[in-house]
Amino acid sequence: MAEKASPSSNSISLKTVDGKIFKVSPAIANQMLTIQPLIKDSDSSTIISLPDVAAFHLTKIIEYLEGKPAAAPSAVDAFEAQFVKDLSPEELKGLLIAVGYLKVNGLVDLMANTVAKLIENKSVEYVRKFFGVVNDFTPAEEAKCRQEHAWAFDGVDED
Amino acid sequence: MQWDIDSDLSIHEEENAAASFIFNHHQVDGALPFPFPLQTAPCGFVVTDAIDPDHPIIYVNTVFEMLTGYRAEEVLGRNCRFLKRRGPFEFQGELLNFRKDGSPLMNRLRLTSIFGDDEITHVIGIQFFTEADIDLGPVLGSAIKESAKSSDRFCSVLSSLRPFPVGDRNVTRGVCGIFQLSDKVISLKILAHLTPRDIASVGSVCRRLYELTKNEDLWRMMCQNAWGSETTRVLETVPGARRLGWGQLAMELTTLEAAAWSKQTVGGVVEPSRCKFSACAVGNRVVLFGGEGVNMQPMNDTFVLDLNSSNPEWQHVQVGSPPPGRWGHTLSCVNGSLLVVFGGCGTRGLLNDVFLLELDAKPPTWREISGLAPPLPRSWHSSCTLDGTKLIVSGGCADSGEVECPVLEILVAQHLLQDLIDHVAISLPGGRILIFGGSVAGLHSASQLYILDPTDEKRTWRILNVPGCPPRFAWGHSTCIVGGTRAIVLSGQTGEEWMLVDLHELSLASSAI
Repeated sequence: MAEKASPSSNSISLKTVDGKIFKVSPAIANQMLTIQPLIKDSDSSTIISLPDVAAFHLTKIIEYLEGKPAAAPSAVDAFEAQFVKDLSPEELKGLLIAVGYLKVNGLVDLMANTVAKLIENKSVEYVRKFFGVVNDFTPAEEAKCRQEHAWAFDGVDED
Repeated sequence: MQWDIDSDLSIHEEENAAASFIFNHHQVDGALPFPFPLQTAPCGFVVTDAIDPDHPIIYVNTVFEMLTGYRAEEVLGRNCRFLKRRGPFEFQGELLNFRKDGSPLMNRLRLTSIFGDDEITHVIGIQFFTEADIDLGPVLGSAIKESAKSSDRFCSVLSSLRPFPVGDRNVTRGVCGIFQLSDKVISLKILAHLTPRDIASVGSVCRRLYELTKNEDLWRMMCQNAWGSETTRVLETVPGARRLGWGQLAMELTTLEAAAWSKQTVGGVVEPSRCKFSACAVGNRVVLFGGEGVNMQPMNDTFVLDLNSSNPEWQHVQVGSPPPGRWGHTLSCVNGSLLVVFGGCGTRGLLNDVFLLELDAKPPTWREISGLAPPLPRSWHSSCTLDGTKLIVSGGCADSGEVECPVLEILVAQHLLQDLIDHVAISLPGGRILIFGGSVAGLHSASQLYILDPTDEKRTWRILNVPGCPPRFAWGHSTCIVGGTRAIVLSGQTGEEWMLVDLHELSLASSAI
């Protein structure tokens, strides 16, 4: 939904699901591929509504896009390592979904990679719980599937 | 003539690709048969197949997905009528449709037929969606209250996909959170960073993840992430590996349960007869260079054995500008098909020169690389490649005696295999090391396989039992790894005479020939 905001500088207004409005520069907004096509048709009075993104996540996304060093891969690595270090597993998961929805340059890979590390060498039950996925196999199907993948179940970590 | 479907129509490159595929595929000529209002506002875009009686949807763009809440994979193959599923409505140019979450949406629909030769081949629907200003009562999960003015229509593209109550994030997000991501992101961005074991395990979580873990692209990407692009590239050149599939290959190379020795006889001859040559693999070909002939004659000729052929045979290859003859040198392959000869022993003693050969060049010619500040002259050293581009030389015999004990040798000496020299070391995907062969003073059989997993907390060599017929002798300089999954041992009956037509092979995956 769009609504009019008070005219200000050349910034883009993004509204999160919890009602907060963030003003960002077009350079930052352009790195969110999902809203990119809307930016050129927007003026300073347009508010783009992001119904799948909470304020916390948008804050982190903007923090990432504004803080990421422009050059020197080593500086980027250090910045990204610090960025994910401050986040809890729950926050990482929520942020991954938000950046997946907004298609944020660079951040999708970083979040996906970080979340992948959290489920490394974990049991099936742990992964279900972590992602909140419901087991929709029938008992017979699950037994067959586990048998098919029996080689994968040696020595997984404790949940 | 090709349709011009410029960027205004679609948001992503892959969409462009999908759309142009459809158009080209059906050979439709002509410009767009309707005024295209897309310069000002992104709109939903649907293509149906009009030859099929039920007019199934064969393409939708991202705007359609966002506005309706249906993903492309949920609607492709279906007729558009599912958008009307909340009740029957008369068609009046405007349709009342519903988002996936049940909230109403007014659809000003325009249908246009596209003709092939004589018949209508496609029907294109262009939808201008606006908020429906009617109250149909509460709908489960709907949180849409604001209504958009038509002038703000373009911004409603981002209207709710799946609204969730604020403050209850964990519950709502938790239930279907991960599946709000596209299959592509889940599969290629998350799962592909896991190990083969993890991916197989994730397949037991639920049906959708089971389906995702069946995808060969995922396994290929995983192999590339976990084993490096060089290993993946080599595996790709092997027909057997391709037949096996990446998933099966990953499983077999992880468990090594399919590993087996076998023996085969190949044709051709390597003459004059020799020992102390060096061999390496280029894709599925074995290349042999130099060696010591009768009366300590150093050799500098090149032979190739193509294991892709149905009847492999040794062939002498004429190569221009050969290096001085030598034995005890190393022959390695970098960058796919570039061969590197380093060091060894020639008529004037130990060497440290470097020669390159592009095997597939026409005609193939050796080229000396000078000015590299090379390591000390030596023979019986080992050379391995790193990332497919760097040559690492370690150990061996120099004038001053043994030089530079490499890391692997230290590891070997400390743990188990003190008296093993010139053995075969194979790096397996995932960093594991497999060794066998060499000259043995102790009790170990030369064909006994030992495996070390450096990621294991208790870093010990353990014996890997492999069925089949192992060679009696195997040396590092005469064994090479072909296609990432097979060790080809060029060995003799006695260890003195080289019977180069008898190959022993350790195959790490099934049917890799």
